[in-house]
Amino acid sequence: MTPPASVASPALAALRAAAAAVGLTVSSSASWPETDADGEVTALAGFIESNFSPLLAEVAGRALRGRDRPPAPGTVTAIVIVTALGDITSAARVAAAVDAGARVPPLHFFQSVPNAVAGYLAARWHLTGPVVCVSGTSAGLDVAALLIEDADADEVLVVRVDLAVTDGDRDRAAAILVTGPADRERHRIA
Amino acid sequence: MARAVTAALERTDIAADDLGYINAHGSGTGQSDPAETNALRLALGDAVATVPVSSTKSLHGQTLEASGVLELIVTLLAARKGMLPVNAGFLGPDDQCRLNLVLGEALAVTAEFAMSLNAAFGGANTALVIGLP
Repeated sequence: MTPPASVASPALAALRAAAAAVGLTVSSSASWPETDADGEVTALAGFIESNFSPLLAEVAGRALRGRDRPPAPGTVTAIVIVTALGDITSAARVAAAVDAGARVPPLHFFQSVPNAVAGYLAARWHLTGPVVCVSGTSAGLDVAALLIEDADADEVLVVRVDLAVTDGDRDRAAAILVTGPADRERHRIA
Repeated sequence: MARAVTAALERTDIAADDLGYINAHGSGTGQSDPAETNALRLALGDAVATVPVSSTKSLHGQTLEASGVLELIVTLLAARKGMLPVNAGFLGPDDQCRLNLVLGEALAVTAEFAMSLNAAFGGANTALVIGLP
């Protein structure tokens, strides 16, 4: 049986390049689609009608599961979400409902803020660090470096989501887990 | 929220009673407002009785992801002008929200330091302190 073919991820390459530019070390990474077997993303309870949050949760989970060793007790992990346009699918649904005078589903209010899913991630993976949402990849890694430098976090999960905006395109996401350069010495082994 | 307030004060190296104004998240919900009140009471201690607090969401609405920057601008303008915005639409006191609220009309003060608070879906809380030059 032929294994699934891997799919290039420009977003992941951009995240890696931005991490290198600020001197951060990538300890794990993931993307969507990672292979041509990545079709429909798994739904996420509490989030509806948009792939934004499910995709973000999926690549974040892949990156966290891909660690080469479990985090030491007390490790503080921050979350930085990078998204240029946010959850445009949800925004479009809300706009359409408002324009039509229809009732907007309450869950759309909740997920209208791109970092709402960060709360799910924090609870699911016991991530206790700060949450930040920015619009650019370089800015995201700048924030990650600052969080580590300020000792607000031991490591930072940086997740980028790009929903498709044109016909024929597909939703994409990538995640990296980064630590500071000095972290190699003080990294606590579980 | 209490941790965010405490951390912001520590980083600014000021005491709670140095704050001349707090622009609260104050979304007006039955869960959020009491929780924010509890956080302020925990973080500010005795100063909670004197630091003026108002939420401006009833004036400009719940602007969701724009709330942080919008309300920071409101906080800056209030401190610069020395005039604090009221809790517009206030209908009556709430035992679960006992704070030094700005009520009735704008309050003239000298606020060398002010704080803007926001809370987001998913549990993110921010406390930003600004200081006048």
